[in-house]
Amino acid sequence: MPTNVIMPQMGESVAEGTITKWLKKLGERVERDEPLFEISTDKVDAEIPSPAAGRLAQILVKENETVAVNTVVAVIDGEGAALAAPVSEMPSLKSEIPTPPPAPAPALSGETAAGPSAPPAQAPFSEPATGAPVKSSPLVRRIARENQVDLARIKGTGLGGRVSKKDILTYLEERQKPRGGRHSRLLQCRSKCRRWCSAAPLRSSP
Amino acid sequence: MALMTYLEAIRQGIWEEMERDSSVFLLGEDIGVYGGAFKVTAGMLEKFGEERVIDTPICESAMVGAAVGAALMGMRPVVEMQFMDFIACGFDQIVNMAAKIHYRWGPAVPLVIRGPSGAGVHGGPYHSQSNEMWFVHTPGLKVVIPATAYDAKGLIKAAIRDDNPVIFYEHKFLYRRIKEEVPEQDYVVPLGKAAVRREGSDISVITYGAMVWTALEAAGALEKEGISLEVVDLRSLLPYDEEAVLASVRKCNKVILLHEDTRTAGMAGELAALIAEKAFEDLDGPIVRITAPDTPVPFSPPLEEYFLPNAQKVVDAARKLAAY
Repeated sequence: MPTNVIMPQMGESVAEGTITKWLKKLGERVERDEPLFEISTDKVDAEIPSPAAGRLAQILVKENETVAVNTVVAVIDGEGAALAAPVSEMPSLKSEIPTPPPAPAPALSGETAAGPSAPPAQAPFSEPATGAPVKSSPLVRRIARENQVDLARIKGTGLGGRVSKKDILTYLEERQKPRGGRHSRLLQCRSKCRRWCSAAPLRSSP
Repeated sequence: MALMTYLEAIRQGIWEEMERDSSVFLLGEDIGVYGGAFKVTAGMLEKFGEERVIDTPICESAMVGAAVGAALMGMRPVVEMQFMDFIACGFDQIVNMAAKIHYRWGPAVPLVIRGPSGAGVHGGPYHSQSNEMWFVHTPGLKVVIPATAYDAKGLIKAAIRDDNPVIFYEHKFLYRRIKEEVPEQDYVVPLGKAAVRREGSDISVITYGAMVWTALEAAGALEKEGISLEVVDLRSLLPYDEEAVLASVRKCNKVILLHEDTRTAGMAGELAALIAEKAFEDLDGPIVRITAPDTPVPFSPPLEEYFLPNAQKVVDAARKLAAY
């Protein structure tokens, strides 16, 4: 897998950098963290290490050219690709300065053209795949998780069809009925509720 | 037991501590001959003498500064602010001296600063403030606000015995409106412990001071509608009873945070953060705040009424939250 090499941001206030020297030639092998090119910015001049091991497949910005921070300046092809971080996964560099999208790289295959076209992030929590997300609450989601309940199966009676605590507790109760005996999880849940209800009061008066 | 007002309970608490411990003495404006603006210290000059009941100049920084010095020398001063609004004039001595000395040099600073706070008596912006959060945000202090006569006596006694500087807020609206049977013997109410004033199951109302009574009134009204409010009285704001707050939230799963103080950076904000951090998965609805708006306390009686939270506002919010 190819890895994009970008113009790094050398300090919060720095918006662009000039490539002063390429330390590797096109097609030459480079190790991860081996110096790849030199840059000069308003703030500092520095040697930039390679983000991945492999072959320097493309040089997109020539010496003495100045480009915006995060611009793709080269592409490395090779076995180190697993370690490579695509440009789109470096949000911290993007926050302060409105940088233009990475320079167009017409020579690249679609696969390497990272950046704004990166796949959309997965939702961190996913409800069972039943279509629209179910409105509930943190408590209800916890009870659902602990009792392996698909919330989409419960008819919410709360505001805007929200599944409320009452709804899910009723559902759990009903779910147990046909089996006769009471499910242990439900029992746990109910005993917990009872425990909450009988929490020792803190009273001042004797 | 004797039937006494919130104010009489405070007086009895101070009186007993002065009898019990000769290092306890009082400082304040017109607390001696006159007996204090609200008569909390009435009769004390006659009983304990002018060395222990000291009328001071009108200078809160001097009153608190003298108290800090006396506390460092082993005394247990109790300073009266004629109104808690005037505590601002003693601010530096409180936050930079009393609160920090123990942390900086080690000695204890056992002093109490007490006085009337709160609105509802048409006192206007300079005699009605609930400024407790100035001190809740000052590590090194303790902040106490009783709601009942029983607690008023037990907490003032605990405050006087505590080795730390304690800011003791007395709600002036409650002074003579709350009358209860209070034990005449010695007892203390521990600092930092909340009390459940009413058990309930649907919504926990966490509050303190005069608003405890507002919450109880709302709970009574809602009972007929089948909405069960639990009322938690914090009693101490610093340190506050985290366990009691979380236990009530975990029981009811919905919570209203109620105070007379203004909204932004009020105690409700602190409690909301605690609940979000430690009881997120116990919440079955949004955390609701009922507070005064972010303005000084208005002088105009209709405006003051509009400004203050009341039982109707709690009822309205609780109905919405119950239906959520």
